[in-house]
Amino acid sequence: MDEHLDNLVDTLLREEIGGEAAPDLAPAILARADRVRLRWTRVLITAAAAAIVVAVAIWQFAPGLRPGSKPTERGVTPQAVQPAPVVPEGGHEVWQRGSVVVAQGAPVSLQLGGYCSLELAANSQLRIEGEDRAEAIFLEQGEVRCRVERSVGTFQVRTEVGTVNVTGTEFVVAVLGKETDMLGKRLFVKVLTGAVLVSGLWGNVHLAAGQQATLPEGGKIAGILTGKAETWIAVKADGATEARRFTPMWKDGGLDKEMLATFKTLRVQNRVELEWKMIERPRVLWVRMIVPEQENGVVVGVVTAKEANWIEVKPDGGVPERYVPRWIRNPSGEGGSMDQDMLRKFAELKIGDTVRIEWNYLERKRAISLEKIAAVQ
Amino acid sequence: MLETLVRTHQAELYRYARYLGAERATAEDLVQETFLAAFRAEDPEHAAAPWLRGILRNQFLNWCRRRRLAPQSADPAALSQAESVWQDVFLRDGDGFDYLQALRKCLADQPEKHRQALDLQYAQKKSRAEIARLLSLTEDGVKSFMRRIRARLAECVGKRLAAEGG
Repeated sequence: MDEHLDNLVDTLLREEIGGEAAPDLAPAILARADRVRLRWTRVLITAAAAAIVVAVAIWQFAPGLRPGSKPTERGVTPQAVQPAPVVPEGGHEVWQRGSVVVAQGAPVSLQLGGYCSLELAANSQLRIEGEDRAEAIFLEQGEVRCRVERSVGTFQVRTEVGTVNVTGTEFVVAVLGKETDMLGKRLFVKVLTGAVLVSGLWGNVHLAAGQQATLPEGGKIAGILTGKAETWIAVKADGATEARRFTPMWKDGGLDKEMLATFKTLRVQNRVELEWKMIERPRVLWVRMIVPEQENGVVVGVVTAKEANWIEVKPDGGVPERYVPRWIRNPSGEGGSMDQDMLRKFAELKIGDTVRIEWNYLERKRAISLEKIAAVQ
Repeated sequence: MLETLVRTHQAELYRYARYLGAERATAEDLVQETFLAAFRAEDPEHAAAPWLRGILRNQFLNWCRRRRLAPQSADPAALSQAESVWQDVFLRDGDGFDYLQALRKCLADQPEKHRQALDLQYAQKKSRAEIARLLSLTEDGVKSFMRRIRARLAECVGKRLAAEGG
C-alpha cells in the first residue's frame, strides 16, 4: 500500500479508536500573536519617537532642510506635491445633464441647481441627471456627501441598489461592494441633518438625523456550493464570478449546531439555495441542496468555468451547473478512479466552448458523455 | 477575526501534521507556527486550508532539517505527494466527512482478530512487543500485520466510496 495512504489510515485510526483529539491551541496562539504585535508596536513607537527627535533637530538646527524652503547652493529642496485636482469635462465647471464627474485622487465639489452642494469623495464617480428644481445624480461608484437647502426643490441620489430622496437635509451616500461580489452592491446612507427616504427592493426606509443604514442586509440566493469545511460553506451565486463564505448564526455560546450538521450533508459542486443575513459577516439562516428531479439528462451550454476535476456549464437562458466525471471501478472489482477519458476531455475544453453533455446524478451531476459543439471565438 | 481563523482550521491542521509524521508535541508546535506565519499575511482572515497546509509543510521541512532527520522525512517531493493523497483521497468531498464515515463502517466489518489488534495498538496503546506477546507474533510480524489491516481498511473505504459514486 502507498506509504501516504497508510499514514492517512493510521492517523484516522488514532482518532477513531485511540480517541486522540486535536488540542485547543487557540488561546496559546492568540497570546503569542498578541506578544508579537506588542513587540512590533514597541518597535514602531520607538522608531516614531526617533523620527520625531530627528525632525525636531532638523527644524532647530538645519533650517535650510525644512520643506518648502528656497533652494540652496547645494541642491534643490524637494517640494510638497499635492494631488492634482480633477478637471471636470470641458475644463470648466459647467454641469450638463448627462455629465459624468470622476473624482480620482482628490474629492470634487459641485453645486446643482443653486441649492444642492455635493462633495464627491476620491475614487468615486457620478452622473448628473434630473431637471430644474428636481436635481438628481446617479452615483455609479464610491461616496458622495450632499447638503440640500430646504424649500427650493427636491434632490435624489440614485444608485443601482436604491434611491435616496430628500427635500432639505445633509447626508452621505455610498455604494458598497464589487461587481463580482455575490452579495451584490449595497447602499450605505448616513443622515446628518433632516431626514431621507431610501427606496429599493426592500421597500421604503425612513432615516432621520443621526441614523444610518446599509441596505439590503440579507437576502436569498441560489448558486453553486464550491467548497465547505466544518464551520462554513462557500457559494458562488448565479451571476457572480466569485464565491462567498457563509457561517452559521451564533447560538447558545457557539455556532448553531443544527446548521453545522446541515453543512455536513451538503455535497460540493451541487446547486444550493439559501437565505443569509449580515451579522458581522454573512450568516446562513437556512440552506438546502437542489437535487435534480430527473436522475439523468442532456444539457447543451457554454463552459463558464473549469478545473481539473469539474466543468461548469450554463445553458442558454438557464443557470450554471457543475459536472464531474464518473467513478469507474477497476476490472478486478477492487478500487477505482475517476473516468480518465472524461478528465482528458475536460482538460481540452476552453472557457466559452459550447458543449453537449449527457449526465446522470449520483450525489453530483456526472458527465457520461461530452461533445464539443463549438469552440470559443 | 483571527480567533475564528484558528478555530476553523486548527483541528484539520493538527490532523494533517500528525499525518505528515509529526509526534503530538511537534504537531502542536507546527500548528502554532503555521498560524503565526499566516497572521503576518495580507488577508489572514480569508486564508484557505490548502494555503495553510502549504505553510505547515514548510514548517515541517524546516523542523526536520534542523533536527537532521532522515532525508526522506525532509523531502519536498514526498510531502507534495502526501498533499496530493490528502487532497484527492481524504478531502474528495471537501472536508473528509465521507472518508471518515466509510472508515467507521469498514471498522465495524473487520474480523475479530483484526479488531483485537486495532484495539491493542490504538485504544490500549500497547507496545509492539506487548502486542507480539499477546497475539503470539514476532515484533516484525506485528508491524506487517498492522500494515495489512490498514491496507484492508483503505481498500474497504475505497470500495464503499466507489459504490456510493465517489
